[in-house]
Amino acid sequence: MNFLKHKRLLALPVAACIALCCGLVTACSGDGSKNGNLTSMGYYTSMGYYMYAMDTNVTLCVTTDFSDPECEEEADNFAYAVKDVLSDIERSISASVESSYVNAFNEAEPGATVEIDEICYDVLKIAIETYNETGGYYNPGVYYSADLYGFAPRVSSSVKMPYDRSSAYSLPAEKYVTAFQELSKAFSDVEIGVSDDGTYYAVKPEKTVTVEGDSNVYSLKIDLGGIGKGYATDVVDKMFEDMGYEYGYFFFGSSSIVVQKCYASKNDAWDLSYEDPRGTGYYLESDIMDATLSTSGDNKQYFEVGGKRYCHIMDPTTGSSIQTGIISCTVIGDSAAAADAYTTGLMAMGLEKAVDFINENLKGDKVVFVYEKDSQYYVICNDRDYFKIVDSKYSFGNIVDGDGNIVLMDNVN
Amino acid sequence: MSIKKIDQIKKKDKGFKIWDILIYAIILLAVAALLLSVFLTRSRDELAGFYVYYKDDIVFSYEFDAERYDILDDGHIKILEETSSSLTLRFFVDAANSDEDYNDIYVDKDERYVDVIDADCSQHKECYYMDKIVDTGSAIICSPHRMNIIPFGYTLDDTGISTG
Repeated sequence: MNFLKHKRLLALPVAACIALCCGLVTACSGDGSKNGNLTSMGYYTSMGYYMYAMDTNVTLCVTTDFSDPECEEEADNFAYAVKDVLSDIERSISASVESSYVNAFNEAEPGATVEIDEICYDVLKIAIETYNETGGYYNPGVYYSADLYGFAPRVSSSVKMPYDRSSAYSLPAEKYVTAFQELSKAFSDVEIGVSDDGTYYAVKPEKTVTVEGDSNVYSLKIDLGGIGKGYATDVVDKMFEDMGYEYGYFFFGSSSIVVQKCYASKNDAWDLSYEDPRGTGYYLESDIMDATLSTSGDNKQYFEVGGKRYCHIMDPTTGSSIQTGIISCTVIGDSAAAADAYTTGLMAMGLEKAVDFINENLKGDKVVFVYEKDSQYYVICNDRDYFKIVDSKYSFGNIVDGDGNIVLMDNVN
Repeated sequence: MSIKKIDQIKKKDKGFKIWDILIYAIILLAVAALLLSVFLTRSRDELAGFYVYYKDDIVFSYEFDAERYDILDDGHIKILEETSSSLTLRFFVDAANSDEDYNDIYVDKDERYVDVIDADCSQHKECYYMDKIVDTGSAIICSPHRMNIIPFGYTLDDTGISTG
């Protein structure tokens, strides 16, 4: 065929090329909120909705066709709905909200039956279950222990307690540490239920403690903040599903997270980086999609005295900040609420108990924690193929046997 | 075959005339120009401005193009210094005392970024060590002070997320 005979036809593919370029330019330029990938359905992009709830920054990422006003309105309404749900949960279980059911419980007399709402009941139910499951190492009854160190939420910053430390970097009196550790055991006596008329209630334990030189009589107080964020994350996960949003994520802080798929990714997975608990970058990476996760660490809320770190995670067996050597822990699974309780409990358990617990109870989840020993940082996990260390300061401290059990290396034990 | 027919065949076999070449050249140049415009037009992620939040409330905003700021709550914001190329402001928690519980925020008008350059939030000052905001894809968070710097059109097109 003589190519030149068809020079007029040559114009057709050239014109098509121009048309394609016009389409690409239109897709790629324009205002900052309408960028994205060209699809047969329009332009998919991810917008971040910033919120604030339970004293925590919240980010909702929704991926949809924001060039379509209907889709944009739907996403905006979804964000508002999420905000409303977070407000409802906060009003129910936040210990720093004076009118919350948790605060009503905390202020009630020992032995009192306190009316609560369904949200508070659901969260308490999860708390009690995981308290029992972890042998008490996850214990929301350590409120006073945490408050001793300045880490518990108070209804008002003007509230003063006899045990308040003289400075932000001093340690609490040992007599309070001991007393409040004893008091925290009372969480095992918390009862919850539903009355015949459908109202929910919680029964406060009778146990009280006193401290020499202090006229107060202390009864159990609880803090459901951590597990509450996980509960909220699980609720939002369900909302994503109900709305049909396949892509996006929800971050309650950076510790309670639910991720859908990632639209911009070739394999639909997000690239998850794990913050270095002893540096400013990341120490670990993995893919993640359609999962919830929780991370606890000693690197966000803490102070140091005499070269020792005191963080917000309490050891129920000592009544003091954990000193177990586990400095960060992440659990990836189906429930952010349960994951939050597990990460807290695992950090308090210490190395051997944590490994036993993971091997016995969490094989269906992905679990990783960092154990610090003699200035070395060991990554302990139940899937070494899934987690990738990206900081040479860290090294794996275990192998995983054929049954999926963590087996610690000799130098870690 | 007659001479006439040979002439007709010869006419059909003629290649590009000068005008054909010019037209195709113009088309190719147009294609090239359109492709270049994709890369040379203003970045879709460029920072247009930012908000400073205290908890849920916007207390300050800044627009780079207009070089304009709005103090929406002077109980939390004061301007420390402004020049033709920069703006430094202080966020503080307590309206009665701007020398404590503060974050100093620096805005580079020419380079179009915003950064926290000083704070007394905690021993470890996470907000200070966070990367400066240069586009719509990142934010600076100060948890102890409940202060957040959020860019206009906070977009999340990355494939990366983090936990910790």
